[in-house]
Amino acid sequence: MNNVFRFFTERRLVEATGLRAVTVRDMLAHLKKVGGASIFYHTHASYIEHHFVRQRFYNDFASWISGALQEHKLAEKIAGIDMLDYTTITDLRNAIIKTITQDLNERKGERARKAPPGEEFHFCKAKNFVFPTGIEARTIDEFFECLRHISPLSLYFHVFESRLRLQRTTSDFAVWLTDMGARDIAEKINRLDPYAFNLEELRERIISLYK
Amino acid sequence: MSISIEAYRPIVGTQFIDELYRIADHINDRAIQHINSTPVGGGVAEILHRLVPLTNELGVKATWDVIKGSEEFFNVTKAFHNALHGSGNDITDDMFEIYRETTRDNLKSMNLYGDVIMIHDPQPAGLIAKKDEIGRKWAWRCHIDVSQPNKKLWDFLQQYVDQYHASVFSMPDFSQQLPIPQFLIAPSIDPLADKNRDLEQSFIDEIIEKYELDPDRPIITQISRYDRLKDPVGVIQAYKIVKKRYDVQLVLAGGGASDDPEGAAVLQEAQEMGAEDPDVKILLLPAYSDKEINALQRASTVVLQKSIKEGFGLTVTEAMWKRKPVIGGATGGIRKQIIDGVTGYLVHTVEGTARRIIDILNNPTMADELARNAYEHVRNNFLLTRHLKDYLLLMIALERDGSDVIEL
Repeated sequence: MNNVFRFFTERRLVEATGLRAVTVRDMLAHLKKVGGASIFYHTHASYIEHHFVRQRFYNDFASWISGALQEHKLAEKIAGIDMLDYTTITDLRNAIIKTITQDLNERKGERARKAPPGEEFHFCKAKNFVFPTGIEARTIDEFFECLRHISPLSLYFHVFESRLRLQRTTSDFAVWLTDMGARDIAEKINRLDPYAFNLEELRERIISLYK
Repeated sequence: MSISIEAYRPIVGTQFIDELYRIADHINDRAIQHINSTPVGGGVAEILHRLVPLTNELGVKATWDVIKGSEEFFNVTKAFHNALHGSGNDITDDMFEIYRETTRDNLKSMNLYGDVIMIHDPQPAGLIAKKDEIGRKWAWRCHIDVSQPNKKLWDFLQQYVDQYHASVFSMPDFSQQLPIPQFLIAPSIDPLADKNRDLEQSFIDEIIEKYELDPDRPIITQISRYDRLKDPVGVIQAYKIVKKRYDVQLVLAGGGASDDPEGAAVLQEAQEMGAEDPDVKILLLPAYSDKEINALQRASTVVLQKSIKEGFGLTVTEAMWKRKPVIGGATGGIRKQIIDGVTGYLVHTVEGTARRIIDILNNPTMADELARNAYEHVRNNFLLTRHLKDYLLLMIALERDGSDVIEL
């Protein structure tokens, strides 16, 4: 068994898809056809771009529906989608579509709100460049020491990106710790909801599990 | 002399600089050639002056060439610029012919040798005509807002743009529907430039004295051209509301109104509004006042950018970098930079601006937190080194098009 944990990181280039939404219905129509990379981007970008602050919504769809459309109920419902329930982007996409569709059905006949000019929703996606950081851990002690020093993006890659991309139910960290015999810590990491923290808080929380 | 990449290490962190080297390693021997229309003046030249040497220092060959054009050509491209913003003159077929002619001349005289050729803005966009002959990877880097362009002009330019392998815009809001990939690369500021670097307190004190400001009372500042879209009049109105109960000072500082009749009128209006009040300083700064602007921003208690319409709004970035609480008009790139209540405040009205100034004056702890978040937001997202990283990634993306995940 290879018991070295190699920390990877990622950098990204963001791309505009050219799709824009002015109303919830526009957003729904685009959600059905936009690529999976765009769904992933808008449910995760905020964790990276504002990794040091706590945000009201980390989900861009919820942020826009709340901020630009002032549709607070729907925004809360979308933000309330439990990301850990989904291991594929397709399932996550369907959950968002279902939430919006239900909301529209419940409010049939109401006039659709439009985003003010300049506040349209732009569907984007990211091209990710993944590479090793050169940081490696051979023991559990080393692993938690490394965790203090890796960049927020490296943490993000192992906790969020690899889970949804590799379609695992756990993070890279939990897999390796289990292999190293630290099943109890791995389970604690698995029970953690990484979506509830900003990245710096998440780092501290994971480190605290080992103390 | 250019500044070494190593000078940025203490600012952005050693991991980030190491990553730049790692990414650069994957570019191997490929060279990037930037082409724009002017060697000096303007944001594009300013950024290239710094980015090109830094790219070379990372081991990636980067060069920068400038197209040649007559005064007539540059008058045409100035008209293009205004029309792309959705304002200004009629666009005529004669203008297109002048553009084509200059493009033909440059195609004959210019050496197009980069493995990646990055063409900045519309002026040199026609050079793409050489693509079929010489191959290479071509990117069109558009620094301006083309979301609501003059249609006739856009149809003309799009014949060129569509031939590129990729386009690059500053924000999704600036982009267009195109058949080629549209990468988004935000502008940046250089933390080591005179406009942004740390200053000796003695220099800041000198500037405070020069402009007869009182360092013991709060200073509200807006740095911007005298342009209605920057709403200097609204800034003075907001100041007047605050001034009723708070002993504050206002600095409006900007440059370049001499050849712009509209700007001169706005300046005059602002001067008249502030004429009776010794605590209102309306400054017309000459070009190359970067260090003074830096000092004025650093001397401020609150920085405003109460724009009604804005491009990206780099003055906001500059103030945020100096750990100032910033209040910005909720428009354009200001909305990308200010997360309302987290990295500053977004406002829509004079009254809202006054309210937020008062909030900041009364809550120094909260103001410090906004300022801290603002600094961190800029450090992570809007510094020159991030711009450099994005250009390197773009070079790789152009070589390996297709996949959403690229393993290096």
